[in-house]
Amino acid sequence: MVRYLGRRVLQLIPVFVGATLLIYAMVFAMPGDPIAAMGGDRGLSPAVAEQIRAQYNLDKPFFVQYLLFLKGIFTLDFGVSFSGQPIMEVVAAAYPVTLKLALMALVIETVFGVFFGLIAGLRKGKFFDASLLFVSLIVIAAPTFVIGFLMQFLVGVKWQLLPATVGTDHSVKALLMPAIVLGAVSFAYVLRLTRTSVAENLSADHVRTATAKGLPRSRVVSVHVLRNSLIPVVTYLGADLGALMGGAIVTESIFNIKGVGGTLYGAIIRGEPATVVSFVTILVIVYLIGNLIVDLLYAVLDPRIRYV
Amino acid sequence: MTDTTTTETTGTKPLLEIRDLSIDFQTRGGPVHAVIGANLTIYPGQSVAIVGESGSGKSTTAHAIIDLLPGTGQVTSGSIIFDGVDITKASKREIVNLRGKSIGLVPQDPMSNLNPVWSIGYQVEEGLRANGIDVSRGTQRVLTRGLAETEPAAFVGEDLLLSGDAKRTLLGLLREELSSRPEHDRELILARADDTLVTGSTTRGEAVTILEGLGMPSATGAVEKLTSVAKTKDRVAGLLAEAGLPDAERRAKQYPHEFSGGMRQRALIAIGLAARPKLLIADEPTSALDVTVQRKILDHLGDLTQELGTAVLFITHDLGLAAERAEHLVVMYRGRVVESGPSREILANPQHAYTKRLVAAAPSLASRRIQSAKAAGVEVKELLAQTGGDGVAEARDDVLVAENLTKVFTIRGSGRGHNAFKAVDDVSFSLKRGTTVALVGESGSGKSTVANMVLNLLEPTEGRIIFDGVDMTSLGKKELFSFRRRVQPIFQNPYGSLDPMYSIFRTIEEPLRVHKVGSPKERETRVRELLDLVALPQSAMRRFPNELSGGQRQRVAIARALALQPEVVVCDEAVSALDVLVQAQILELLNDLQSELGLSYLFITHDLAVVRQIADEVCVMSKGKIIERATTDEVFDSPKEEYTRELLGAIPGASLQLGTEDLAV
Repeated sequence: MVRYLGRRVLQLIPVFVGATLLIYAMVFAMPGDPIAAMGGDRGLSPAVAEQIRAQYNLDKPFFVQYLLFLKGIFTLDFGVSFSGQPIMEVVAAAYPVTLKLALMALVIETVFGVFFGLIAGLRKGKFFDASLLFVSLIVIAAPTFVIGFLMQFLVGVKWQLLPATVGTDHSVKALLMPAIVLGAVSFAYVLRLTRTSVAENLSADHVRTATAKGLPRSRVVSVHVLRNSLIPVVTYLGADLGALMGGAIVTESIFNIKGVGGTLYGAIIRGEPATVVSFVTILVIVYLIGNLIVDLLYAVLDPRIRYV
Repeated sequence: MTDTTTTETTGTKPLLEIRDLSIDFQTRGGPVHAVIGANLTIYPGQSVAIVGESGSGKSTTAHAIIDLLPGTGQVTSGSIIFDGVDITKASKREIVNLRGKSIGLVPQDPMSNLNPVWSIGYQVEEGLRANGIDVSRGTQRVLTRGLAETEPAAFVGEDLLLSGDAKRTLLGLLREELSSRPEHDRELILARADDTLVTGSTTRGEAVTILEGLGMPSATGAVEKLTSVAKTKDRVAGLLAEAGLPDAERRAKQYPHEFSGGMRQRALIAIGLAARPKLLIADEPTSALDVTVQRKILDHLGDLTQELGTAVLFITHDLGLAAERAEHLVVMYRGRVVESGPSREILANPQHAYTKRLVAAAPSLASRRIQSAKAAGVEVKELLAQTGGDGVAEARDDVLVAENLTKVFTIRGSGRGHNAFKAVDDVSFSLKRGTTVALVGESGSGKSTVANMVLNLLEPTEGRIIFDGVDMTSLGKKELFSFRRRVQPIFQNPYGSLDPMYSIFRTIEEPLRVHKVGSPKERETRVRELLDLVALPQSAMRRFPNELSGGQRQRVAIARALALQPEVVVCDEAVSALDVLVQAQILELLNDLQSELGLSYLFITHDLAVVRQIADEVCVMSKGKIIERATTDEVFDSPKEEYTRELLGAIPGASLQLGTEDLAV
């Protein structure tokens, strides 16, 4: 088990280097000169432009820049943005709320998706199953902003059950509605995945053996069906965490949340390479950690994987 | 048909009584009658076998007994009375109570019947807990009682069970006590003690008796000093040890994927017997295992159930196995019980036409018949003529020679480096034109690897294959292509080896097309000929594999193999997946084709019983080596190697005494 964990962690290193190098290269290759843009219509004097270039290390070769950037990551120093604000500050303002939102969405989709998926799987072909499938299809088909605005109007404005926008209040209550909207599509996928997996496992030979042992049905389902069925669901959830964080931009703009999505979008529009690279790098790290957790859960759920 | 005999158990109340049982499955095309008016009676402690081919309703009947009918299956009429309770009318709760506790199940396929994510021990323990057998709690009760009465004797008590630690201590003491004995004796006695002292099951009182019986006078004192008490995990280890699993205490912590098929089957037997049911249903318990393992497990199961007084219901397609293991036989055919009675009687004097055919075709019985006939002085050739075998190989040239074949696989080791695994080790044999050589061995013996090398699908690490005087390793791409025409395979699984998207015509025509033989018109004529040759109607041409039965599919596979008029056919377990009657038909077909077309067969199989019916020469393989090579008669009459004798002994039905008078079938 320890060896398995060690190997997984070691595997993160090449992925991390590869991903950041790729991001850095792509931002480097973006057309236009951000320094020239800073000067506006009048333009900068060559001496000042040169000085700014040196300040941001833009005068050095690509690989030197990349290595300086890597060094910055490990010392938690991402440099300053063009507006003079340290990028670390921008990150500290945007990441916590998005991370909280994404985790809430993840919890909601997991709990409800697995629960309803299990029931649907156990009653495959019955009315309950069919109606859940129908609902999940609608959720998957409807764009996020439709569900978002609809809920905002109904729950937030008309019935006034929850705050309609978030603003600076990052409490669980304020973030509940955005989290539901953000997790809705994934909920539908988790539900369908669980349902199929449960229905398949129900007819497995070892489940019949468990029943023949004299176990009550509740125990057969919880011990022998559910655990085996969760393996594909866990795989999906790991990949989904990254998607939730990156994809929160629509939800964040509907509910007026100053999170990763909005900040990153602004930085791309303004052409601030340092901010863009820093944000995306942190997204990569979150994604890698998410996948590491999935790998560990995997090993917990399925003993066959521990020895591979 | 009702029971004609109730054997010696008349007078006692039956344990299980099935009366006029009918079971239907609902399908789109209306109900399918899987079981029609079946009757079956089992007395306490009796062993009964239901015999029939796949689809005969034998498994459905068995599953109805524990209310585990799959899918849309439903009992439409009749009753299943178990111990006074009608299972067809019992409530869910009553049935859950019966399962495991009164009726145990040992399922068919050990590979899929254990949950891969739980340890073996946990899965056995579950069976105990679900049925209210909690050793830990019971022990606590006895201990509290002992302490309350402040009587140390309570610790030696009749109902205090032996723990794993206590057993180790006792075995250590016994070893000391026996130190003066010669080593061989000592080990034997220790092994006896190890077997008879079952943790979590043997009480301390019994342990004293056993140890004194083995020559340990100080047993009472030693047992009194024991401090550790049995827990549920000791019981689990004891159950696994009982089922014949070595090193059970450590093994219980392992997961199914760390177990071989035979070991998994033992674990399943431990689960089935965990709560000491009155009836054990053994559904083809060993059909997925090698013969030698099969025999060991069935022997063990037989001993154990006899000791515990458990009634056993075997479900099997192998008549030899059924007759050997059960006192009473029930033959099912197309949902009906066609015959039932004491095993010997049915075997010696089958009444129903289907049973007669079954008795005639069972390969295990056929080879017994030959042996007993030999003893009576009947010429073997005459007997084999029944199945069309020509028996004697004349001196002919070798069409295929394998010289010192070796195949080494590198497998991913645990952690660092790679391990080399010698799957085939210095194997040499030759195949004479127009004859059959059988390669026999258990799974993992390397026989299929040899087949793949002969087919040139795998490259040998060392050695060479000479086909018709030409060394195959020297062949170029073009020559290899034409070589493939002359050597064709027939594989084990007729369900997997035919492309489901191809019509039968396209399947058989494909090799002709690939090798550009004839015009489309000529090819069609050839396909028709081939279908005639394998005794399939020409109308089968337009059908698809899923519309054919297993036997028909295997005929298609044979037709495809013969399309290019090969000289050598490699049959890799070609009949292993088929029911006995179909198996006999296919073997007969292969025999006819051999004499008609002068084919040479390399026959790969794990089933010695089949070998007797088809092979001229036998190579017995074990762990990658050929350990014995001789003519079929020699191997069967005077096997030289211990391993070969073991294989022969493992053929089901080996212990049956068959007279020669039932030879004319």
